[in-house]
Amino acid sequence: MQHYHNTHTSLALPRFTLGDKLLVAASFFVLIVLYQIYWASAAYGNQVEILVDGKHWASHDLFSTTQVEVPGKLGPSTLFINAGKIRFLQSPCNGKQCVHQGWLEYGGEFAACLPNRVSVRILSHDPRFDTVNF
Amino acid sequence: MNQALTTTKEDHIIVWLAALAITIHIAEAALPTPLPGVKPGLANVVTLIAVYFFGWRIALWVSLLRILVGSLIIGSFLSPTFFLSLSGAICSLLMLRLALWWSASVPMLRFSTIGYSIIAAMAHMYGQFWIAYWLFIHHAGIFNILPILMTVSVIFGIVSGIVAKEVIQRLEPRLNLD
Repeated sequence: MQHYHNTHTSLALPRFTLGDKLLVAASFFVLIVLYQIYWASAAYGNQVEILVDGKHWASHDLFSTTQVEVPGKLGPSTLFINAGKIRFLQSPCNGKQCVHQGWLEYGGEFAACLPNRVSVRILSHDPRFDTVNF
Repeated sequence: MNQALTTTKEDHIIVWLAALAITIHIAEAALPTPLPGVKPGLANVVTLIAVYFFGWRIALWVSLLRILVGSLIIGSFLSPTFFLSLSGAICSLLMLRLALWWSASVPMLRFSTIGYSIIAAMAHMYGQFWIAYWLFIHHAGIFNILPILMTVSVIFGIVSGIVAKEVIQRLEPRLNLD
């Protein structure tokens, strides 16, 4: 008969070694740097780039009111640009995640309809990315 | 069986641990996730326990077997999900190897299971992220979710490290390792 004695009953957290503590500190530092790099300059965008199949298809001024039909792999995706914002209005995909994503307005923001290979990216004077490598 | 397949004690350990990890992996696959790629990764607790008691080589087997068999059972074998978790696992195992070297060579600043867990979780997320970027969404925009994903991985890394350490502390006095 085996008796299951709880060998240590304390509810204290297990001991972190000095190395662990330094690692936690270092990882928080990495996180702060990541947020700074990718999130810090959330400036409003002024231009939008539309890509089809990963390639530049057109650029548009965000401060105009237009509806753009983009020919994708499955059919036309409809984008709606208005007052500095853009959104997918309609896309011939099943999930409609692109449509549900709603409005984009900040520099660096993007939305993509992967099945239809259509994506949009907001450009701004102060972009979050210095370079984009493909 | 006429042709007896000789198995070593090591094989049995690997298979038992892999079976445990696969169970957790599948149970976790049923949980809804707020973002693709975000899940607690509790199956890695088994990997950490394997590293602690049996070393990195056995943990490698356990981890790779879990991904292979887990994906066959779930039905994601050779799908994007499979490649994401495979690349994450390879990346985290390599970083785990480096971390073990670090602990051996700098004993003053050695890591415990918690440290290994954080390193493995972050490496897993990062490896997965790069494969997602190179193979599936070749768009700089996905870097916007990198900070969130890494934050989640640090949190889950600490949590599963603590879980693994608690399990190890309770398991150690009862385990007959001969």
